[in-house]
Amino acid sequence: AEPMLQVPLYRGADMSRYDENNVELGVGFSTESSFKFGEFNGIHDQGGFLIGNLNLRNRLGDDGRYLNAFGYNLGLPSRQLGVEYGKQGGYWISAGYDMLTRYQFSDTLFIHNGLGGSVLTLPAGFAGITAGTSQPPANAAAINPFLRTYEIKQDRDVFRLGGGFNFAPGWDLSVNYRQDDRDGSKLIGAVMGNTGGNPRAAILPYDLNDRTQQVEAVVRWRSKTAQANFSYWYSKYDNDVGSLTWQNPYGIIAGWAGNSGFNTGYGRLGLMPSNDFHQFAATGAWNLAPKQRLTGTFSYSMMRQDDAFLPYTINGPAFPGGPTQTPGTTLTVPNALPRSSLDGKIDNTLLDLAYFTRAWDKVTLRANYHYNKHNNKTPTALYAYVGGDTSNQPPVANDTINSTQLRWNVAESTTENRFKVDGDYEIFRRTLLRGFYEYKHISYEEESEALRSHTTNNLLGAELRRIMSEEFTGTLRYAHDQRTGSDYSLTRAYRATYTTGTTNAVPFPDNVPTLRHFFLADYDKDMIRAIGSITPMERVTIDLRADWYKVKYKGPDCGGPNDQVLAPANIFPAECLGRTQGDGASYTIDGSFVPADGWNAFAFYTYSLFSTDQLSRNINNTAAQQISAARDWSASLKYTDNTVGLGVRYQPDNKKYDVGAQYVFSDGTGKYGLGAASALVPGPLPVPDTQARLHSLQLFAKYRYSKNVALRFNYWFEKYRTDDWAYDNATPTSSNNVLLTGHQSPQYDAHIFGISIAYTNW
Amino acid sequence: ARAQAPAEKEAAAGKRGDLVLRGDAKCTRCHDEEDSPQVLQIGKTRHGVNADQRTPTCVSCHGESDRHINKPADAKERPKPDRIFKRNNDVTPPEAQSEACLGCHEASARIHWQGSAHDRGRVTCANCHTVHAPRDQVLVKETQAGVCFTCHKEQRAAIFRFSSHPLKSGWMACSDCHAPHGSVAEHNLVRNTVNETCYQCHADKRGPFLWEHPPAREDCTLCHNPHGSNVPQMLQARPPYLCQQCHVAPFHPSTNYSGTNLPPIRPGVTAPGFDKMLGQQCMNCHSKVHGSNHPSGARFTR
Repeated sequence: AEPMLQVPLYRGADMSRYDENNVELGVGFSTESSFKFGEFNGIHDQGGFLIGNLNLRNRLGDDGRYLNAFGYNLGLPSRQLGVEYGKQGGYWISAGYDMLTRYQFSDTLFIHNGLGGSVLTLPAGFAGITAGTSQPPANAAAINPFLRTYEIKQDRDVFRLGGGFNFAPGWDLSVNYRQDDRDGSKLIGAVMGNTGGNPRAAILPYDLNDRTQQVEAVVRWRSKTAQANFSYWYSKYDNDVGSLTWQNPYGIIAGWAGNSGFNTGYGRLGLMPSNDFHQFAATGAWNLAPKQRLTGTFSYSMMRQDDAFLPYTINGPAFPGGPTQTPGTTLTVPNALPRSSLDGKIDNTLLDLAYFTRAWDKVTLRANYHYNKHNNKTPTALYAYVGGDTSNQPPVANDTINSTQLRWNVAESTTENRFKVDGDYEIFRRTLLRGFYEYKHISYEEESEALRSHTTNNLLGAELRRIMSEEFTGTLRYAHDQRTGSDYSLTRAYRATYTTGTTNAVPFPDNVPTLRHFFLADYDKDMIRAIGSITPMERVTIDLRADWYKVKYKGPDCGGPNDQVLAPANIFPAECLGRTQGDGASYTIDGSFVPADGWNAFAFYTYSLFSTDQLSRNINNTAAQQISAARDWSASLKYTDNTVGLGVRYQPDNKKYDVGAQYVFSDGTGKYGLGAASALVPGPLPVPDTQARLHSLQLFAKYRYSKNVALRFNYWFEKYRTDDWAYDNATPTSSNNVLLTGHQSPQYDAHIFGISIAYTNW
Repeated sequence: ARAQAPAEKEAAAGKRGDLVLRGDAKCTRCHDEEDSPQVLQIGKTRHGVNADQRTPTCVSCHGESDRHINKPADAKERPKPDRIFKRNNDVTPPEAQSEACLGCHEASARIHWQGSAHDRGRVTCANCHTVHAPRDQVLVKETQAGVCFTCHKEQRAAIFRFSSHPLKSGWMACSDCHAPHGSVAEHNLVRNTVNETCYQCHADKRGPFLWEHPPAREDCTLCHNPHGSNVPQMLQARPPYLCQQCHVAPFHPSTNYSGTNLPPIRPGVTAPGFDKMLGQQCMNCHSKVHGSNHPSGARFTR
């Protein structure tokens, strides 16, 4: 027996359901209606459900042919089916069908009609969000009568087909096809328009109806001394729903043009574009000599996307051939799009070479070179940035114009070169000392005008591993990683996206020049790992594991004389903004125990930490604020988890029955420490902790009524409590600027009962 | 010296043939149904299909083991077979254990095994695979994680977090993303890069887009923790602060949002909540953070 609908937390799972002909039928009952509990397991509603599992494994005759079939969770919305036929050493074909529903939100509220479709309109009688400068809180009385629940869930149906055969000695071919169809709704922020950072938006469901098809063909060759794989992988994404259109519920506000507000205006945003991907790859490996191996991989990939663009606005169009003007709106769109579609192209070239040797008694050595060029060939052009379907397009679209509403798209390319070497030396019997070094250099191509032209990582480390005996092993590892690189320039990226006219007139980027993005900034990172495994007696094993790291971001060159981009020369404080430090840790003590024959028990505790510190500056667009450290603020985000697991199983010698219990407690807390400098008055109010606390208890038993018939009993209790300040007590009208959904962070107490009969092995 | 078992005597007398594999009589004369039934379970596995000419026999993996079969008279205990697969044993070093399997299985997914992270960590094939079991726990999607969690304990804890992939319920397996036998990618990913791996199921995020969000194009894990997070959408940290680690621009991107006006409205505070702190936070408006293909999507709002 095993816990219901949950992966095992330890090895040694009861495999009887999978390794023999097995048919299981039964009934279950849930006391709880909760999308969160049923998020992936399908038990989202109170009431009964069927338990159905099927696993048939048959050899057909003595010539190696077989026919296998399986079906899991057949009585639930999330279920799997599959069949496989073949002749071992000859050929095989397989097919599978998975249905997985993700139950995401059951309490989301909306005012629009047409939910689940791609065009959402407002209900008759709705008078618009007009009071109090068109803000939801002032319009609760007008909004609330029209709110209704619409569940957010996504079905993913996965169809698999595969086959292969050995077509010559040492050669085989396999082809696998996978199709993912998704259907349902997801949430998206629908923006009506932008007026200096005070847009009006609504969280709306959009129609999800897409298909991903993948086919992969692989030819493999093998001999005693060499092997090779040649593969082609094709992936195609088709989205049937290119956009979401909605009627604007907000009355017109200052800055909106024409009649784009309630009730004549509409908004539209683009959804994910259809695209495809090809990859050709070849991998070869050669045993140069005994205990020496050379492996090489070459791969070339192509990403393509050429969906037709949407027009600048749905409420347009003043240029010839444009879309039909929405009745009642008068937005101007004087310039056509520079292209009708993107013709997006990114090619990736990868080369990986590895040499590995155990040629010497006490030494092993591995050297690896890795090259990966990400070549973005997407054409660039100048596009008008129209903040929403409530704005006119800027009048003239050319590079000499000084307008932040004109933007060049950027096609960023990178080249990565990585070299790694590591070696072991057996300093004493069963004691290994390992050293490793990795050099990584990433070039950001000049034409992409990235923030840095290159970064370089140097990682150096050592590890000591002691294998005392079968009863005790231990590992201690330390590594230091340092990233440096070229000068950092926010203006370079800025100039790449804005017009020459704009950058000449306003030589200042969006972000404060002393910001360093954590994924590009210099840093020093220290990492320590300690692992121990002890078997003090035959029936007891204790594992200890500790991982810790600290990363300090170091710029480069923040402020001071390096940053005087404002005229007259204003010098920025010599401090870096952005993420300044990251910390992580994970500590586990884990034990398994066999107290007596037939008994198995386990227990574990894991503590995890992920935290970041950041520094920022609250600014407007004046030099005085942007250079003022008195406007600095900081945030320290600390996420900790405590996870406890306990389990016990018993099966007597005669295997007549087995029983078990498993308990998991998981407590995750997020803490948000905020600070502010003197000019930010009043200071920040504390942000409450976020918390997710789970108790999960499973009791399970299997009684073998006869050689072929077994009864299974399952009881599962799960209690879940979450606190989340982003959702708790927030109604749809709680926020300025945004019409929310009213979704609350989930809580549940679920009792699940299951009884089933299994027929095994005929 | 131990007395000869009845089966051993029968086999020695030529009365016993092979039980499961070709030529297994030299072993099964002792390791028979009574002695070690779990060993004979290999007959239910792919290694037990004699119709496949590639099928091994006992000595293919365990060696001829003459001293084990014919215990020297002066030996106090019977010597172990030439090759055994118990972790950290004195007889067979890890690389020699894996060699036994690689002799037939070095192609295909194992082509990168030698020198891979698991190989260098002295993990052997038998540490994860149970060769004599009819169904190997690590090869069944619903049970695989239990094997990986033997060492990857942080990931075991992560699946219980608020937001995670459907691994806890067995809909995904570790090997959907990771290649335990090695690969050219960091973290032993099944595809060349992090993003290529994610795009297998999330091809909608692939683009290319007219407006690319550089960190999203570079590495999904800069913002997401794929093993699980207590922040919705498996985010590493909570917006708006996560976003503000890279966005310090005038007005709202640089505003120090805090508990001010979070619902329920505190006594004496009547202002509504900040839109950047509620709901989808920054993504209330910047909903296209994975990239936008709208001609006016430069700020990922459309």
